[in-house]
Amino acid sequence: MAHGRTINDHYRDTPAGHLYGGCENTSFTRSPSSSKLASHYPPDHHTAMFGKKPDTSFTEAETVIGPSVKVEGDFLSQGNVIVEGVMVGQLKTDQSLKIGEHAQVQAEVRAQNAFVAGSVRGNIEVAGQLELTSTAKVMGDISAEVLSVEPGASINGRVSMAVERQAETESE
Amino acid sequence: MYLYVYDAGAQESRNQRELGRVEARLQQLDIRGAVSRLNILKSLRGVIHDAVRDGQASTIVVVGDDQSFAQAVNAAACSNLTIGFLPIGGPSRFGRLLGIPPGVLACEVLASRITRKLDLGKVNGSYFFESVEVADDPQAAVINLGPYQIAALSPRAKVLVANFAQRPGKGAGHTNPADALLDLIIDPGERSTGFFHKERLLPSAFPVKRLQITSAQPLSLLVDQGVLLKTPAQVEVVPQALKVIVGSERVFE
Repeated sequence: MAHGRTINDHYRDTPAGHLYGGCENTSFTRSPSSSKLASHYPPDHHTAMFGKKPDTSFTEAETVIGPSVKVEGDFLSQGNVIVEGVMVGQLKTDQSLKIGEHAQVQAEVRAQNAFVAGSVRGNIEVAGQLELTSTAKVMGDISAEVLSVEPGASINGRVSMAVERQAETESE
Repeated sequence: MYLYVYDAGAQESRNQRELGRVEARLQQLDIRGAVSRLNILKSLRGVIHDAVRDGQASTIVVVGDDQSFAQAVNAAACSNLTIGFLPIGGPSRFGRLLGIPPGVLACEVLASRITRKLDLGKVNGSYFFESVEVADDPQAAVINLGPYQIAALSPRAKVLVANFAQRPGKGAGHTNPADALLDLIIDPGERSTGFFHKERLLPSAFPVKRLQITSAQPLSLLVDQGVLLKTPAQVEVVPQALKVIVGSERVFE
């Protein structure tokens, strides 16, 4: 660019230069090479029952079901999923799942790892770690390899762990 | 071989000085080519179709505004042509995304000839470069992705299917126009939490390859912030559909 001017200097403060969404950030930023959306989720100050930060406190998710959205049907994903809205049906992901405090999930849930802070009506099956926060309300069966439950969490259903499942298999 | 297509706006008298500077700079950079001036009898689509048929130009450079560029994208999609853009007459939204400054400085971008194969979106048979937005009542739209459906719960939400658009939220970056996916974005905007305080609600985002937008009553869809279509609409991604000359300050890799 001539005379030290950047492309931003040509587009700053012009009505046509404002893109969808009210472009407050007038500097070019390169988006990541994948389609993952950098979540605007605030830093998670919650710590697990035993003082460790949960593995599911991811800040980047491929799919975000925000508070203004309702999803109905069989939702299958291969990436991280954040749910803050309403989900009805089936919710399955190969990676981590985060259900926010105000989320309402009426679905069968399956994930590699899950962090639940909201309401779930349905069974939850997690291959790895499942964490229920103090605001979590689960009405269904739970299955996980590692389970962490904060005081105040509500579970109405059967809980099975990997050890218990192995014992059942051996007894059969 | 370059073919420069001047749209009606570029030919206006107020842009003649800028156009003269552009032509001189193209001459200095040795990337001058044939010139085609659009008029009431000559459309951009016709010029591009002729170029494809005759094989006389491998690079079409649209000299004009965003609307003309969007038309060129539609006409040249899935062809062997390379599309360049030289914004004339003011700031350009597409120019910002592609890293192409307006006026004579765009000549440097053309000369550097950095090209990228970009995805396009397709809605009811027409291609789009940036996005398709539900212009009417977003709550009335039902978005069908096959196994599941999505509905917006907020009447103020913006619903758009983006190939190449800025994500909502400060500093959120842009969607990737070369990942063989579209982004379904539902942005609820802000809500007031008190005097002088507003809270930004979390936007929703779904990476998709195809979807259907239906509604009980026909809704208007804004394509590339210009053309209006009506629901029902079938929207899908067309990966690597167009080769485009881009600048080094583009908003993607």
